[in-house]
Amino acid sequence: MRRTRTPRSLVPHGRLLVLACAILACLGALSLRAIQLQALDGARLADIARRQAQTILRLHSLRADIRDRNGTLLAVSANVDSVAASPRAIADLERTAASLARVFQRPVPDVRARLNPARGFVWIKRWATPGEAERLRTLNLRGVHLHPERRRFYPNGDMAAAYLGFADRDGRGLSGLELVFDRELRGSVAALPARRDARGKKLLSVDPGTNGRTGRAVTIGLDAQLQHIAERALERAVARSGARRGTLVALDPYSGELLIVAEVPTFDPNRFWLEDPARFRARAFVDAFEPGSTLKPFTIALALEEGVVAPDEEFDCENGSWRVLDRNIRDFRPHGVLTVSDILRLSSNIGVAKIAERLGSARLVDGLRRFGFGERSGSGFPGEATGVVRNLGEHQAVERANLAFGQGISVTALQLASAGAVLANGGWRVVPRLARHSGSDPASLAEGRERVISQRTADLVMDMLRDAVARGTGRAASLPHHEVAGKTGTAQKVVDGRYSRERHVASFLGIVPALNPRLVAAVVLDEPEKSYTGGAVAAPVFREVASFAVEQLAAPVEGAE
Amino acid sequence: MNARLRRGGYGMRVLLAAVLGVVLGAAILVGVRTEITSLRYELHSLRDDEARLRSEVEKLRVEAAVLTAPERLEARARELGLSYPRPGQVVSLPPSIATATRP
Repeated sequence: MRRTRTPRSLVPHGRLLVLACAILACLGALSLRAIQLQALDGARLADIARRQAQTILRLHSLRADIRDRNGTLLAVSANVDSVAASPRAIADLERTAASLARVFQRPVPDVRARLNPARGFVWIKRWATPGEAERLRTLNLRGVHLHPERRRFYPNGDMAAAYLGFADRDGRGLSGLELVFDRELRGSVAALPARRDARGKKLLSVDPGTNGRTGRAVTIGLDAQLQHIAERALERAVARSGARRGTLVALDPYSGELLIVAEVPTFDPNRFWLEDPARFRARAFVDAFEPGSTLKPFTIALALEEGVVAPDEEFDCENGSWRVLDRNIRDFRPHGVLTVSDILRLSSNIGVAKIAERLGSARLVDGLRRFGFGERSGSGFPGEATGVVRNLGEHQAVERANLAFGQGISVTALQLASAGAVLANGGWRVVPRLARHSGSDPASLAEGRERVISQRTADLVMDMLRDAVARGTGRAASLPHHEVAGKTGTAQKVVDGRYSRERHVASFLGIVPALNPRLVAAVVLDEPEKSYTGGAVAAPVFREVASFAVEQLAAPVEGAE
Repeated sequence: MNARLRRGGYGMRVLLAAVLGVVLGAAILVGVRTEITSLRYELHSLRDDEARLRSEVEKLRVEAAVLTAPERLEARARELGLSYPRPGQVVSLPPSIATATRP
């Protein structure tokens, strides 16, 4: 058998065997290497690989919306493109500058100056318009890049600008409600594990989700429709009267939700960096003024509450001039004997000063503070002023008389409207609310409330205020189908320590509908030049807003049932 | 001799089959890994698409809000000859009357 075996039969077998052995040896070597890599050095190498490949991806959420009570968007965020360039990477700077200048409609030398070849990165335009970004994409210029950036938009332009405030380029609230609700709106930055490939491209290892990083939308009590009407009415009144500025603040007398916060002049928060910073002040909160006669209802309410006067009690109004110590107190028009109700209707300074004399300084000052004057309202709005209510001794008859008709005291428009809400809601102190009240139970609004005056006193003063609009100084605020309660105010401004005869603050405190109040508003016009009384310039603004508000708030026509 | 050869050939075949099996297994492993990586890239690309579409939605929301801003609507309405009702032209009836007059 051995002899018959041919060497040829062994050759292929032998070569195959050698090949197989070589492959096996390679596989064996690979297996050994694999064992070394996986088992012996596995932990160390895996750690190195993990450190090389793993990275953290930081995701910034978009700032959440601010909406009005009906869901209208007041502030919203979106990603927009910003344009940057790497001048070092640009081959033909002149040509690129010319192309960019055409897209942004800017002078070529300006753009060329930005493209400094010594610099590696320059911004050409932050927050480019969609059209500009599209044109740049089409041009596909070398060394010019589009970077997505977050931008805050205020779709209604200058509406409620000082109240809403604005956020900066990095999405931080800088003023107004943007600052108040900054934490809720901003959300958090999500740090998510990601893998980095050989080209440096990042791949998320986990689902990014949205929980925990998205800001929470805030719904405020403001009514965008009413706000619009109020701003236009105020704008017209400022233009007509030649006033320096105007403010209107309105709230729901029960919930305290702020329905309108209008300021004229205003500004466009979409381009706040170009606007006059003086216009950023929400004057309804931060500016205090002498209210004048709009304070009289509160003096009378306190006197009625304390039982020192009766509604039909008569006072001699001295035919327009009454001497208190060394000062004369005067009425705008002379009056003889008036009832308490008529004193309010005809706005007699002498009458209300005599009522305050009965009340006494301490009870007057304490009472006005209970109405919320002289302290922050509790709204939480940044920079809110306290106003000033000074302590008075019983011997300070002149100061007491002045205080009774709104001199020697300073209040904010918000305080005035909040105090008006006490009269409108039956005597309860109201904390103005910026956000919409989320509770469905109206009773929850009454929890922890402080009663300022009794229901009876509130009703009595409301009757007097209805009379003041129907037959008194506030006739310009009356409406055809709804009764309005209100009080006018015309205060002289203090200039160089003296009351000026030329400069005034005209105001109106109004409540509508008077029988079932839904809205309390304070209108303030600063330094009207032509007509300057509250009845002539401020009351018509309230009328315009109130006529729309009764429709908007669906207040049924009165006396129809 | 033939039997030995046959035995040798059989062993060789087993060996080759084992080698092929290992190579095939490794190829499948590599293939699966490659597929996972490819799917990961695809997922990433889909997430990019989602982000782009979200961004588009955000822009459209802004646009819609701008188009429905009261000031713009008022200007358009005035162009069409509309105006605000004067005080008293619109009244809300109490529910009792509204119900009673309903046909």
